[in-house]
Amino acid sequence: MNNRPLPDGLSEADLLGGLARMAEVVGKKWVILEPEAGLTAYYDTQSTLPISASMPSGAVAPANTDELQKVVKIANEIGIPLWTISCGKNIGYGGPAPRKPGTLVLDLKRMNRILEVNVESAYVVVEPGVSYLQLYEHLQKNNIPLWIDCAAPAWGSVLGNAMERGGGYTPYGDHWMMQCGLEVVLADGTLFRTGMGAMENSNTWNLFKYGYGPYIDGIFTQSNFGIATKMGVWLMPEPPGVKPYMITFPREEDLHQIIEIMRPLKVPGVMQNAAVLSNLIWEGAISTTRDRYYRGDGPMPESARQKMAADLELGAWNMTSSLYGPPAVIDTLWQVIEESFSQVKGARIYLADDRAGDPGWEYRKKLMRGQPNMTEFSLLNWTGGGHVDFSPVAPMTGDEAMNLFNICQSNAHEFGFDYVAEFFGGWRQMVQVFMLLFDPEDADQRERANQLFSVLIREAAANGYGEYRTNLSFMDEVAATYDFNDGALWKVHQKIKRALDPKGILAPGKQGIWPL
Amino acid sequence: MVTRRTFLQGAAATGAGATLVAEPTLAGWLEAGGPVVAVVDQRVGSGRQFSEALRSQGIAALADEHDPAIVLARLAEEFAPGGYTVIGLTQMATFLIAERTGMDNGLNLAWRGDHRLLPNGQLQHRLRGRAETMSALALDRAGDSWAYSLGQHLVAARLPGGAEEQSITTAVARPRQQTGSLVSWVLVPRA
Repeated sequence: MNNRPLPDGLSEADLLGGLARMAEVVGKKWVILEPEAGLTAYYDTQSTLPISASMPSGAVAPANTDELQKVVKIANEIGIPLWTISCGKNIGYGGPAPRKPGTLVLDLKRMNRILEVNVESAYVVVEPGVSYLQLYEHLQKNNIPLWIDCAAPAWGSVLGNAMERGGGYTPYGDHWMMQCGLEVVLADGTLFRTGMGAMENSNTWNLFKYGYGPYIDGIFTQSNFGIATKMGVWLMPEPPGVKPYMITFPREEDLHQIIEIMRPLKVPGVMQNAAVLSNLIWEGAISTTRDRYYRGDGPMPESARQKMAADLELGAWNMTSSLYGPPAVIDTLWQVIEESFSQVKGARIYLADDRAGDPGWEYRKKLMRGQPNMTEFSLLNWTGGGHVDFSPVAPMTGDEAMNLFNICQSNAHEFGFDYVAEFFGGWRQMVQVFMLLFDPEDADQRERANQLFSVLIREAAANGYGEYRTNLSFMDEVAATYDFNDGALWKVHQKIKRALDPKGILAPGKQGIWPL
Repeated sequence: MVTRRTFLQGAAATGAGATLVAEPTLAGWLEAGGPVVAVVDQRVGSGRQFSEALRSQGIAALADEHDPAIVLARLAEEFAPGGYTVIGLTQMATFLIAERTGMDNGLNLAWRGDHRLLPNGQLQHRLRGRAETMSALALDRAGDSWAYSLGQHLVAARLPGGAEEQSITTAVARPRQQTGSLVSWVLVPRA
């Protein structure tokens, strides 16, 4: 008896017939149908919902764009829905699993070529399967003086993270901003290039973003309108100097003053990269285990948190950032930063050589130099591996930061979870990532985490905060909070979807955009 | 003697739910010259015990440190030619990374045991595998030496494991050798 979920409206014979044709294109080895043949690699085992809620019917992995086009054409002809992944490692947001059970995963991990490295103009062109670690090692091995900007997990896709509008830790941390030039395949197999790449003999595809006519690159991010197969990514030339710093702040209520100091430094660019402000448990969980301080159920009490802060020399809030450039510039900017944050009572400043042996500070320093690593995954040791990320955007003001913090922490504690979070200071906004950690083997915890997440979406929206990204399980709920003029934007998304993918085969349900 | 071929056939047959045509063990795999990589959190006493048990059977352990990227890179390097078996006793994060990396490189999970500290300070072993394997481990009688016993017996256990589950809570008040919860795991090559 086969328990394979099927796509809506398709019989198993329809599906298997389509997969047989796809196997002729990509080779039998790269059509995966059974758990023991590797299909389990496409399950989301860390979400609040059971695996069955996002179980794929199978997976297919083309090796190049030509194979990809042929697979998409077959899928479009038969009506097999495809869920595209690049490296599929974005576990907190759903990883490799599709939004809807029965969807076929289109795995682009074999399309992992670094197509061009242009040292003079500092950019690369990559395929979807290129990971941060792969690109970093390529640059190192070839002594190329360019830095990548990576997300925290080293195994993430350079292209995939930019398409999801993820962020990093150097001055090039807005990954979508640093994208220049896309190649896209549509649901009918059409292939095109955006911007200057629309010219057959263009020599500026990866230098000038906008081209001529409508600028459409953005509609392929966080969407299901097409499949990106190549992307130009701007890299940062290795700077002549770097000065990473960490500042700890002792009290939770210091958050208000910290953010008020941060904004006027971020808007004009005195603080050059993402200012990351992590709370005590986030930073502490990198280097210790929960049971050293608390073995009970429910959130860790204040007394235990204070002991942990004292032992690890951490604050209630811990800011990590860095300066880049010629030493004279760094020295000048540092004076301003040091003076500004020293106004917070009890602030303690640490520089690159301080905190020897602290894995938290070590991995932060690496990330701010574009050196990929996996240390942040240590957070998953805190409870048992389950996690979903709640990521609302708010104005960068002290009042809003305290409000968001209070909403998340009070609800987390009420539902029996620790508040584990960090704020990313952007240009004018901030994103709070609350990593909701739970034990996926505990059905009660899963259920409570699921309920908590929905409560947070609603309360955040009531206060004007929308999520910039979310886990599969909550894509519809978050989309519903974008409700201006009766949800007019999502109606526009539906019109575009209908025009570009009339059969609705590409990533049904992605970001709450469903086929009609 | 178990060859690489019979090991893989056994793994495939078990995975498909068919009758076992071979009952491979890590010891047999080693005997056949199949390389075994071990990844162990040696920062904790239980990890050091586990390493010692493996070492006594000819398996050297790679230390799992704070940055699992080291493990990731090493495993990817090891997996590239195919045919490796990986055994581990680590914290959850490294297990999750190793499992995902292994699945991308042609390995399947053949054993998983969760060794968790409970709020009352006791240690709970939640095991998934064959009843006979779990019985042989005798973790309920192993006390603080459970990791040594596990390391010894897992090498001899027939893999892939079955789907039976067993939960054992040890009577010892608090294991002296452990802080944090650990996961034992074995990844074997897919047929």
